[in-house]
Amino acid sequence: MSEAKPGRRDRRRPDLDTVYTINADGSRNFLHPADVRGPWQLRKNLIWALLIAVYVLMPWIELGGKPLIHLDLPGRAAHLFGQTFTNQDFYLAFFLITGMGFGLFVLTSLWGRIWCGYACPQTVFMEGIMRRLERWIEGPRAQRIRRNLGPWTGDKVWRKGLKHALFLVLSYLIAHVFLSYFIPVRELLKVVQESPAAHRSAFGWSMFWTAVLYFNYAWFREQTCLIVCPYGRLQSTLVDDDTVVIGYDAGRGEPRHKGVGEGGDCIDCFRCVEVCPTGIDIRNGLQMECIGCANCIDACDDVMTRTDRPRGLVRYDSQRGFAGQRRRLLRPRVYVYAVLGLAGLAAFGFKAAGREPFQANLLRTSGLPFAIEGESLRNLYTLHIQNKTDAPHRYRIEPAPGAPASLSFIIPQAELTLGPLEDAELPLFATLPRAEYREAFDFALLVTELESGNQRRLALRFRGP
Amino acid sequence: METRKDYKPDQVFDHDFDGIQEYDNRLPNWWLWTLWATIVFSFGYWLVFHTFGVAKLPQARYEAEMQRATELQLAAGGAIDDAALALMATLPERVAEGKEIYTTYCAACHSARGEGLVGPNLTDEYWIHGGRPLDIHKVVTDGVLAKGMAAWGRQLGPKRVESVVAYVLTLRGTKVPGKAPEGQPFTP
Repeated sequence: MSEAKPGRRDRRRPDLDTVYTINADGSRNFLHPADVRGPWQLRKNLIWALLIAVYVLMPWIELGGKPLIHLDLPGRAAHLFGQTFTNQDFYLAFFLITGMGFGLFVLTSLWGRIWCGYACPQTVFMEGIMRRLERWIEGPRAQRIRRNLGPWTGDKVWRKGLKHALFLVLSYLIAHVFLSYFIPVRELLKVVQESPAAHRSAFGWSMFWTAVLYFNYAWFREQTCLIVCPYGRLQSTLVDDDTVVIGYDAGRGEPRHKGVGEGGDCIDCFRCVEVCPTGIDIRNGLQMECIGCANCIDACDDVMTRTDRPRGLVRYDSQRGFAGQRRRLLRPRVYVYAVLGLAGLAAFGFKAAGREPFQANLLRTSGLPFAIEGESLRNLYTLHIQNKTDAPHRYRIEPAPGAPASLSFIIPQAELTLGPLEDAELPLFATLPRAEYREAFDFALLVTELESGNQRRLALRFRGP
Repeated sequence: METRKDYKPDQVFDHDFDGIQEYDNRLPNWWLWTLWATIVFSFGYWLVFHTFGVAKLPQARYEAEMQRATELQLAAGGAIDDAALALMATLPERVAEGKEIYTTYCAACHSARGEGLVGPNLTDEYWIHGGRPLDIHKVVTDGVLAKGMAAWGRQLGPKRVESVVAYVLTLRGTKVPGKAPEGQPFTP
């Protein structure tokens, strides 16, 4: 046994002390995950196809002549599902992001990192499209490794050339799908047909993202998940012994042994390691690098079936489940995350629904609080109106009934039209005969949006000596 | 090919926090490259922006952009200068249009004949913000919010602002008794 395959014994295997994708000298240990088939792959493929369709088609859908999602950075407005949010509404992002964040926490505490394996765009494009292309062009794992170690033959040149060309084209397309959430897609289609000099900023961004995505898909790959992404690092705080994660049933598998005879069910075939896209050995337990892709489940089930053993040596289960204890899915932490998430979404919903179609503020103009001119006493105010909708509207400004009869107003712009998201500052005067002034009193103005009749009452104080 | 002998898994750093120790593994080379790249970049940035001033810093770019915006705004209003406005003040149809606008919007504060009420007297030789045609044009367009003069540029549009300025120029020197002079005397 000790003389059998000495090289194999010395080979580096994934462990808990080092990052397998980084060599001892700091260079990259490039992975070549093996192909795997099975029910989890089928489920992932269906979800990925659906998600890619959603990503690509969403910018094409319009609601009332506006894109469903348009993040207009130069215009400092976000158009989401027919609603327009201006920069004054930006604080709502806090509630929305908190709500969605805690929603993700609920999922993580229940089922671990299913987001990473099934829904993260990095996984969807990398595993769903790029890895598949690589396999079609360069063949299965053994062939890829052999060719990479070999000399630059004509065969290697054309396969590598074709792969990288396709990666570049796809990165370009994905970058534009991403851009179409910031520039409406119909506009973007026109822009890409015109000279880059006419749209320097958009062209610069599209080239930047094409380069970043190409680098990511062609070389960086799992390093994004392992070292750049912060979500995986939260795993240890969100997951506990009741969380359903992908794990190895050590009680059933150990001791590992090859061939027939006494021992556990694990035949130490390393199939689960070969298929892993982040280069870990799931038999070492739950690790920061695990993106929950379930490749090792399908791989191990396949081996167990072939060797006439029951499936599920590697499976979705909680730490308690693997230890043979009672499983418990709903725990206090799940409820706490859910309540916090719902609170965020509810706050967002209420505040978003209660937004005003226009904003009006009346302020005393800075400087003198009042002015005396001959026999009259005058106060100067500034009215600020902002149209917060996507359409032009006309507004009327008038004194509210109930003001003293002797109080007269000069409203230079009693009616005005404001374009979408436009705002204006208007001066106005209130005048009172000096003899009638006793003490400061309150009055009000009405600002009415003419089409809808939507009205705002603005109170202010008249002051004098 | 790498073997497990390349690693010294027993080698740990000296520090120890609550029994947690750290293995002395190499940083990824790509990570180190990002460090070197930012250092190289910082020298380039320093030379380009601060030493040789090849590219402008944000404040200078902001000012250049504002300058350009002002020029564009002026261009959008047509080629307006003192002479053009003075000429308009001699064209009956522009003055008539200006008078109509004046009566609708301006008379509330400046009175029907320009003698002033809340706003200053427009018929004397005194001007608070300058008496050149372009000065008046600017006050009408942008307003003087602190004193209660509204910005009419948006509501009236360039052509009607010019007409009302032309009309105001015809009021100058008519000396209608009204509000006392304010500002500086202006001699064309």
